[in-house]
Amino acid sequence: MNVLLLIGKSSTSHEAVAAEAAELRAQGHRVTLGTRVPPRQVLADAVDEVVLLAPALPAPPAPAVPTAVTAATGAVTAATEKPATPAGGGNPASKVVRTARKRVRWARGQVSGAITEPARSWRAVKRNDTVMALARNADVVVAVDAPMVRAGWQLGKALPLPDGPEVVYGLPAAASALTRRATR
Amino acid sequence: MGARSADRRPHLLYVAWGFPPSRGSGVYRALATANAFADDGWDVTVITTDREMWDRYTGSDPALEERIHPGIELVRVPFAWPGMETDLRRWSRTRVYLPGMWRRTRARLEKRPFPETHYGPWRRPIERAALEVHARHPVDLAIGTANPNVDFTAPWKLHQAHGVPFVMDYRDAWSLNTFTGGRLTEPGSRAAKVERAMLADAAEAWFVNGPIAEWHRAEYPESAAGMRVVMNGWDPEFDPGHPSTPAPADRPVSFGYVGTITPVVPVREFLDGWRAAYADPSFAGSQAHIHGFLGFYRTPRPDLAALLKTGADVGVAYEGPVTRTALKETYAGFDVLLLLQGEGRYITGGKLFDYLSTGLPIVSVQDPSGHAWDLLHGYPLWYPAATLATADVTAALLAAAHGARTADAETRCAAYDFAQAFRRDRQLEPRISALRAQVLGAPTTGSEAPE
Repeated sequence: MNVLLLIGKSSTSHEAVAAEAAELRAQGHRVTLGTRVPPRQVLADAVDEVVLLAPALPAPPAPAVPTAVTAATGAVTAATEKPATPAGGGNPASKVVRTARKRVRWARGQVSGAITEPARSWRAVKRNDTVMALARNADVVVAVDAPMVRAGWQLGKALPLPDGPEVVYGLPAAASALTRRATR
Repeated sequence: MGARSADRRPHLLYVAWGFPPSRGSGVYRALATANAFADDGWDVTVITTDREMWDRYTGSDPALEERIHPGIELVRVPFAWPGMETDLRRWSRTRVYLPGMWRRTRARLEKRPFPETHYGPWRRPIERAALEVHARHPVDLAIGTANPNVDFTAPWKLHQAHGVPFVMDYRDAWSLNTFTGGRLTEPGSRAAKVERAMLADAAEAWFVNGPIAEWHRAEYPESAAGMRVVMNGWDPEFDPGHPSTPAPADRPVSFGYVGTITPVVPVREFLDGWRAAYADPSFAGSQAHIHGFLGFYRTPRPDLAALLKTGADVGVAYEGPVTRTALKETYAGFDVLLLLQGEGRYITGGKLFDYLSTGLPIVSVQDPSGHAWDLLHGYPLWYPAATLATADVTAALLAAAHGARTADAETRCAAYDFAQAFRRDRQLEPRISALRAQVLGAPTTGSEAPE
């Protein structure tokens, strides 16, 4: 079966998506990827085809190396450490400004997460002929992360059952969607 | 209640949201309890969810359904679980366009019938189902098994409407955070008040270990008299039927771990100790086979996977999860079992019982404050690391490897006998007998299981 994965967020783990894609391919499925984030090599290698959607988002940083155990001494060393937070200034006015900025950032994040990015992601999908063709041919479309939920939902409306694909949210849902598709 | 006669079959109503074909970890206690009552000659009716829900949301295990006692009547009450719905065609426009608002509104509505997120709406349907069951076949005893805690509502309703005695079987805890020891409900909150009221009416409340029971006795002293410990245990099908055998001298010792690994499990401490032990000639070539999920989801946590990989050069291998049906075979390939547990006075952990069923040497790498530590006292093939310090872990591993090869038949027999007390049916027998006596006025048999 054909499985189309959609990624719309920089922070989505490419390793996790790659692991799932590899498992699906090992089961004999063809896995394609529509993404606003340039895939790292691990993910690009794990799928059959990649379509980069515009506007693209910055690529994620490579995952931090976990705390390692040094063989010789048994000592534990952390590869990455969170930088110390600078001490807060005592000026009440600057505290008010900092709080206000924090709230504005939070509000912008809320708007961006709930409205802007989902709308951009759906536009990115519907304006890309290649990924729309993949969606039409797909048996299962997986909105891997939250910004792609609206795109998945709209694809579900645009490509109605029984000919249209199963459209699900989240990688763990792919297996049950494939089963549903097979029994349809 | 109906007329009492020691000859008639008492009728148990058992409420368990998680029941086969669910494959959740809690389903084994529910299944064993319902089956044990049926084996004891009770008519058993189980109120549970519709089976399609498990297929749809979590995956199911049809083989488990075959283990339900044939005499048990199942009443399946549909359960809606929109939070788990992954089919985007089933999502409303509001959920897609205003996910935050949808979530908040949903959470408020869900808690209206019963103060428990996700599960509250199931209260009225199971209460209705319980009343219908009682109308056609009077119920002598009702048991609700949590979590979810909504399972307690139907037995409570029968008690309020018809005076049916009921048992609250806490598989976990409602107000106690068993990981941190803190509270999950605010004192005076609606949930806390409902729990107190239910406990006051309950004939008994069952807890899975002594520390959790003690916490509840202190918190609800007015209901302490009915509080009992009914531990989990190992299912009889895991019984190898004989004591373990020594590890062959012509190959390295094989260590095994089976269970979910989360960041609180002392993997790093284990790896440090293992690496140091590996330098010992008697330990060289030993292998540690790690089975289970890395994190709470199917996709392994990359940080934990990478951490385990650091032990690849000294024989540590992560080999993925193992299904319950393959567990016995998996254990058969090990010479020593590794019990790695995070801190937590209230945690026993189901794998401890499965471990005991094997009669194999067990190495504990855990904080001694845990309940598992108390239970293992007296197990003849127990090799605890005194602390999580590298030297202590190393010493325990070396001692266990030595024990795996040299423990004599008498010690292994003693380990096998020790484990028999922790069979699941042995935990249930005293309570079933006591409850039969309570509802029918018959004499009790058996003795209390260990706490």
